Amino acid sequence: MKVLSRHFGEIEVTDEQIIYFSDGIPGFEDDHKHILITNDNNNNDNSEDEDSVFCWLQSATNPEVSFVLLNPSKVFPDYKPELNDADIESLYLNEATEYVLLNIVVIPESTLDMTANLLAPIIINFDKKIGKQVILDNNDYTVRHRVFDNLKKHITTN
Amino acid sequence: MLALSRKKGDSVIIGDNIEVVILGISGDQVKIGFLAPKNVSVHRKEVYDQIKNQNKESVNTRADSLADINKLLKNS
Repeated sequence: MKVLSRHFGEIEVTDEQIIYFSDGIPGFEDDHKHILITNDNNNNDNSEDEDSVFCWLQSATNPEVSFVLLNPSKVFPDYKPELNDADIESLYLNEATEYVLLNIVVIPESTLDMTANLLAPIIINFDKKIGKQVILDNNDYTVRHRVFDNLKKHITTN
Repeated sequence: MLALSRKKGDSVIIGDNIEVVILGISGDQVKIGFLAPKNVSVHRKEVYDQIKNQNKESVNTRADSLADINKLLKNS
């Protein structure tokens, strides 16, 4: 099927690439079907470092809805959030599940002030093709955590 | 909006399986307990609103923002 994306025009995707968010995403509760756009499936010639850090979550049904996501594993190596039992259950996660945890990012005009939502990560279960924005019980994490200093520290020094 | 007066230790049932318990009252603060099925999520509204706003701002991100980040990383 074809998905019209906000930033990359029309993208051809297979049914297997559709990730179903049964609750939608807060603020976008009616958008249930999304696709992950990484630099593997669009023709950006950005650097390799950036490829693995950022991606887009694009609504498959609403071209206007596309979130910027950050993979925290390199940028915040100490960020190992614990999910609560209810979220683990609703996402059908177990030790063998192939899943990813990503954080929604806001990039304002002053790019240096970009922030990531570490309190409410997006979890995608690739085996079941389902996703959810969960809210962690851990109050140490914030919705707007500054990113750039960590990005600089962990990405450019690699 | 339905308004009910409750004392400490009293509770309210919503539907068949959501119970809201008044655990304690201290000055202008009320401590509330929730008994609900696992698929019902309970959150502080201000946190939920912050998440919603952050999501909406993320959707408004310019397409070339990631390229800007790359430039900044290379020049710093």
